[in-house]
Amino acid sequence: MKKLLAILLAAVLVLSLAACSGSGESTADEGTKEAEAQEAEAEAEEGGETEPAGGNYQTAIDLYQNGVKEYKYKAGEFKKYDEPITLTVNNTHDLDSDTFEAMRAAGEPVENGRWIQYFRDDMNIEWVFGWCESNSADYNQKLTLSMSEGALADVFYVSDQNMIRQLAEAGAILPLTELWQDNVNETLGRIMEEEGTAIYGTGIVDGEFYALPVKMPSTNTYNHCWIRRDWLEKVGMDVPSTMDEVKEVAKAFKELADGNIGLCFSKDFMSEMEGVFWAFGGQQNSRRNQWNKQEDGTIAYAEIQDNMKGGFEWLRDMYAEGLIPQESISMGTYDALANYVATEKCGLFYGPHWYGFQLQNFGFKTQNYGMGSEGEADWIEIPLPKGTVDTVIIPGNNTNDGWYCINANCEHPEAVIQTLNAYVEKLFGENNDFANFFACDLNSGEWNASPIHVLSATVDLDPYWILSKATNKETQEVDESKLYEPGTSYWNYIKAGLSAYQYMFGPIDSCFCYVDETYPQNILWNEYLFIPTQTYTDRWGSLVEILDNYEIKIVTGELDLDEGFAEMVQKFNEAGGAVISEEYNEIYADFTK
Amino acid sequence: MKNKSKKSGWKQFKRNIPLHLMLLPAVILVLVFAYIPMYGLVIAFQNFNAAKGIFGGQKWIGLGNFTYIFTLPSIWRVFGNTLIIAVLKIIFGTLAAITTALLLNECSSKGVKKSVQTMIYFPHFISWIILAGVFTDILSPTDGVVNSFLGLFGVKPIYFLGDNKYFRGTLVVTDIWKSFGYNSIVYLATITGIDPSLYEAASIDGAGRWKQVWHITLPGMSTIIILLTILSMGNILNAGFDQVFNLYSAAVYDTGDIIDTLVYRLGLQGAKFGPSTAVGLLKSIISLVLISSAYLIAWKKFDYTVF
Repeated sequence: MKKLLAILLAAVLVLSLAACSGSGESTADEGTKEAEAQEAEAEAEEGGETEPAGGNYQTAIDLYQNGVKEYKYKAGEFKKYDEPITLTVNNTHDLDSDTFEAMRAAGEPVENGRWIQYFRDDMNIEWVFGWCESNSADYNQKLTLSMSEGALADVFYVSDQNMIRQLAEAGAILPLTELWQDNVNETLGRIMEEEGTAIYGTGIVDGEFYALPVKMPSTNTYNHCWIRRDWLEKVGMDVPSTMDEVKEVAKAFKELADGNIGLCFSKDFMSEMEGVFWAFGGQQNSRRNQWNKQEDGTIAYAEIQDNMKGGFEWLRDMYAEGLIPQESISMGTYDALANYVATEKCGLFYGPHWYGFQLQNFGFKTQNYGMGSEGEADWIEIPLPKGTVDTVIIPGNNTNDGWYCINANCEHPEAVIQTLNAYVEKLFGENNDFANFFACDLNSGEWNASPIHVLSATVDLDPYWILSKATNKETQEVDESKLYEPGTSYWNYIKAGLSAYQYMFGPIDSCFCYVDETYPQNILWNEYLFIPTQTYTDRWGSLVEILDNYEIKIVTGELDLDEGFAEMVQKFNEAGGAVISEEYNEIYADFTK
Repeated sequence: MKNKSKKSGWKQFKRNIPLHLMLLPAVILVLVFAYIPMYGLVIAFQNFNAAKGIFGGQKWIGLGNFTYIFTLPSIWRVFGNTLIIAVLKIIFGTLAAITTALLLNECSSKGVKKSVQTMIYFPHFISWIILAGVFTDILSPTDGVVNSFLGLFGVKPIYFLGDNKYFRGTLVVTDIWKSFGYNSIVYLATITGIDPSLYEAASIDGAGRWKQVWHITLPGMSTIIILLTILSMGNILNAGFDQVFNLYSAAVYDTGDIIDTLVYRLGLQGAKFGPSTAVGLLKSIISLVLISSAYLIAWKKFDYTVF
């Protein structure tokens, strides 16, 4: 009896598996037929209102090349509905964050914050937050789950272009080419196209514009070099302007105290410290998606070009000389910063400007304007030191932080674009209320409390310019009578002790001093801003792993620079890189001819 | 005769209805969480588009996802790593557990025995997320305890978690440290079950402690040792996702990247549900074959049956 039961159980297990695969095969045809029928039915029902992927190719190219030609809504205009309407949103807010909790306690919950009230009062639109998730990996998982359940909000944030393709192919999102041109107002159009109309390419799938880029300042693609001025004084050295000098400074800093390190490094170095590569002519950007135009007119992937080798050589030497700690090669960036910068073991690191917030969170204060106390860490940002180039070229995207897609079942899709019209008027329009809506006492990122947003390309440069003009650089005195918004707000943040605003946007020794010197004349714009091809989607993850694996071995000296680099490029191309390059060049040629 | 056994079976079932009812919630849970989700295996044969939903009109691609997996540049490295790490863990893990059980059995002080047992049992309950942080600190080449100690003997700092030469060894040793206490329980229980008169007889015959262990304890444990080793074959493709995921980095992909970490990167980070389901299915089939074979061997050779 026992044996019989055992055999039966085993048989059930095996059969159930066989049945699964068997039923998969037997129902395959049925499934396809069913799918075809459903698609045909959906098409018939929609009557062309919700076009599946494959719209008017020329219209999309036109939008990509020329942008919006005629605006139906002038600057300052947006639609107000006669009857209240409701829109729901999924996005990356952390609704339980300390900031939002503080706002809640102060009587302004994000669910009924100033933005929600503004859209309600001025537009008759009631915005409701659906599920939100601040962690991008968790957000994508939830989004995928909602996609498969058909439970998406009216408008939702998407960070992965492959998802846009999937959503478009499934008919789950609305095509926007016409909707956009019919509803966008002049202010929003100007902001979206401020750094070129190519940004529309990021949302085009098979000839139809499907996803609204969340436009952000492209100055976000900068990488900066941060250094401790008080340590420079201690070791009697000047601010380094060459990579050789940076190495000497790193050596001196390491010798300052036991346990010190030379340079803060992490496994994410390719996306967090590109400035090292730029110093030697490398042209990769922080998102590792830079495709640059070659002499023959084609485009090529930046990370596998020979001009990257100079940066690798410098890092390899730093590692060999013990100026980069061994364990940092497997550390994440924030761990590395917390381990070395926060604990004052390191006085030199590379990173984007928002690392200023890290310094602030670690408790560092600005020592400029007579603030801070003697003996405290004095972090400043310096112009990117040069290696072998005369001018440091900054590879950058026409930046957007993801996209907004509109659910195919949304009853008022135009209201999404109208909301963005209203949003930009509040921040950047002629009658803006920047001071109250960009930031407030309890939320320095109030602009991001809106259900949806886009920002002007110069949103970070504007306050810098205003502050800079009002500041005497010698005496570090700021003439407040010369300040106006948004400069006034930023100066108030600095005075209130938010040192991040000095590190990032302050008039002296800040990241934006360097941005101001170099933007946009030193920017090398990414040439490929389209939805990735299927080969890219299938292969890119593996290709990046090949690069990661080889690059770290080159830095640690496990592989010879020239041989290792050549082998890496060969493997990259063999594993699909060459095919992707061909496909990208075809698309690029189509859109730019 | 047949009728009689049928009747007695039915009678037995009726008599045990309360017990069967108590079993019902567990059966339902298994059905809901293990059997019904097996429908998801169809994704392995589809070009899965999440936006169409699992019951939507997905495109069937036959074995396309399996072909895709086997054309991934890292697939053979990943299979190799998984097998090597899992086999090393099984061999050394078993040895460590047996040795511990033997040593504990020889310990005459009850207090010491219980204290040691509790101490070595404890790491089993700590998650790898926490342990990864602890090991990263302990094994740091800059200021880690281990390298500081090695430095006393003139050994240059070793980066155990970032050097391909040491990474697998580090995985095996840290895994054994975490689990040997827990794993030794079964062996200790087996030793307790050995007839004490055998030791008395051996002692009268002049056998010392070592000879008693060699000729009585180990032979007494042999069945369970072989049995547990064979049953662990079902885990041959599980090299420990939690541990590897929290300790590895691109620097040690060559020796540390395993099937589960690849599936994680493919499925959750890359949103490639088709290929990652295909890998999962493949792994399940191999494990099913191995565990069935192992069960068959255990049944035929050692007369061990579950039912």
